[in-house]
Amino acid sequence: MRFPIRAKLLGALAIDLILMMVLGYFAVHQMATMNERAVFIERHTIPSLDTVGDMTTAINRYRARQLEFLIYTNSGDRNRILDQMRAIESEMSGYFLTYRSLIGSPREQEQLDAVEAAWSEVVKANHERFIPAVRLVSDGSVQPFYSRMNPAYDALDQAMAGLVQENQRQARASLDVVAASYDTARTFIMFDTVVAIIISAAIGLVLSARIARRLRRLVEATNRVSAGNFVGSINEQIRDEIGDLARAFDQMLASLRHQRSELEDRNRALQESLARQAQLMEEIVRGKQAEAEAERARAAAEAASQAKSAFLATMSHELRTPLNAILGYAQLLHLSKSVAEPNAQYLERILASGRHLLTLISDVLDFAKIEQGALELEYSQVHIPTLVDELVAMTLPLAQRHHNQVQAYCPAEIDTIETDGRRLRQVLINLLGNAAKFTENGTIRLEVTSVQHGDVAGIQFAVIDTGIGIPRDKQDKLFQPFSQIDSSVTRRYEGTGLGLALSKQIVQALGGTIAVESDVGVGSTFTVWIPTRPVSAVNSSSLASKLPLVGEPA
Amino acid sequence: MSFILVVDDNLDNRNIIGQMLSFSGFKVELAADAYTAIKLAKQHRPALILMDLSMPGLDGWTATEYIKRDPELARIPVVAVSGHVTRNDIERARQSGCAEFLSKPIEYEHLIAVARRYVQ
Repeated sequence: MRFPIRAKLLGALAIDLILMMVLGYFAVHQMATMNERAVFIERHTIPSLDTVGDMTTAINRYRARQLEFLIYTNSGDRNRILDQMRAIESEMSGYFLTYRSLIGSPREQEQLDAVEAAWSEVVKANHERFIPAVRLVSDGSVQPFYSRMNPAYDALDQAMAGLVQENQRQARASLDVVAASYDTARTFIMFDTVVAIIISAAIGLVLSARIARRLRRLVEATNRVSAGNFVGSINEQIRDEIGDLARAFDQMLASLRHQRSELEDRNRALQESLARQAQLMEEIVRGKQAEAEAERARAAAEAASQAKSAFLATMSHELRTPLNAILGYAQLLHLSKSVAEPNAQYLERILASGRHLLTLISDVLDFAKIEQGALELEYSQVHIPTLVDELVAMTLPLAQRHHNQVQAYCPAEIDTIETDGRRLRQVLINLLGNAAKFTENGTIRLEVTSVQHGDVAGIQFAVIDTGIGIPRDKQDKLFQPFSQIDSSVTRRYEGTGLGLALSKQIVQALGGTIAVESDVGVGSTFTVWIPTRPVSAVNSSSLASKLPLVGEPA
Repeated sequence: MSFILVVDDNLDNRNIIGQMLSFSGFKVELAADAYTAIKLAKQHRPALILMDLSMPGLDGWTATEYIKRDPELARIPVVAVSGHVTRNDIERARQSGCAEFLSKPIEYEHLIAVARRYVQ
């Protein structure tokens, strides 16, 4: 059934219509038959029977004229009667003629021929035998003649009766045909109507049942969907309106399924995202907490560092005040020359130790400042040859104490650089002092050269000694705080162990580098390289010059 | 004979600087605070003032500024003496009117060289 419901309904209607048309055609046909029969009876049977009636009357009159002919003996009457007989004969001829046009069957023809033949016999007998016989006898005893006509009349009567019988038979046959037509039409109409009803009912019932069943499936599916169950489909195969509806429904279902699965996917994704977000939030909160803790720790560390630095500054000042007094009075004693040997030597030791103590205190303070990033750098034009002269002059007394020679080399083209002269001097004095301390009967040499590192022009100071040297495995630790080679060295050679670490910090703060090369027993070479002008990157890193100055309090 | 005025709140420092200068033949007056120093300077007109910078009450920077604004005292050279070693402090001292800066601890030779530059 690949047709729309409308087409099916139209089809059912068409079948009904065809049945109705067949019925109508048949009814018309039957009525035509009946009408034909009625017309036959009207046009044929009735006029035939009328003619037969006329003929019968004429025949009776003819016989009555024969009787009158017998009775009337005068010739005048007889001639008049004979004329009347002849009129009747001609009348009969007319009847026969009339009847011939009404004949409906060969048998009727036969019957009519028989009637005509019998009539001809009567007429012939009348004229040939009856009338001559009557004319001959005039006594009035004519009865034998009249009786002699009876056989002819009997034959004629018989023929007439046959004709009438045939006529009646024909009329009856026509009526039978009408009755049969009526019966047939009635049966057919009833049958046709019943068939039409049955077909209509069958089609309607089947169609409506199918439609109802399919609609029920649709309704069930709709109920399933409204209950939230998107599984399955209607799967209609039939291509009509309901089929279209069902397919549309299936498509809707598929779309719903797809949408729901998409929705579920999105929901899942959303939940995952939410979970991730929650996790992220947790991490952020944890991170914030960690950050806050770190901040607290940092603040605490800073506060501790500030406290330490303030403590160091105060301590160094507090230490320096009595130390200044010690050094001052020692100098006064030394000046007065009133101290005799060996006390004069002790006084020298007091002065030397006091001065050493002073540098140690300064180193500690500087180191604290660098650690805090509070080292203050003062850039100015530093004349290198003058610096070299000062360094040699300052190194000389200590060097000579250990019987060392001091040499300096500075090419003429080296002039001024822009750096912190005081800090640079501090570093180089430290290196030269170390060289003098750890060398005996040797040479301490300061070499200044122009050296370019990459794009940056700079000056290299090499402090070369022929002293005890430093083992290779100790060289990396050299620039770390509090790491003199070992404690015995500390005991033997005075120092905090801060000097080289401090030097490295200062050199780095100035944007330079410091390095060592040494062999045990051969000597050491410390190399300091300083850029000829401040390097911006260095200024912003370890110097922290924006921090408030931690000066020595009063 | 002109003299050198030594201003320091610390007795030891006052004594040491005074003794060192005396040892080299300079006449010395001592003042334990800036007020006394200014009063003495107005009365006796020293040839040189050695001024400690951080002192309680009137500090060395302010006292030097005062001296340099006073037309009677402005000609007297002031040399700052201090344990302060930062450039900032030295710069402040120069701005106040100090001619030179001597750092503690006092080294005898250095002190005498400076004193000789200002006092005959």
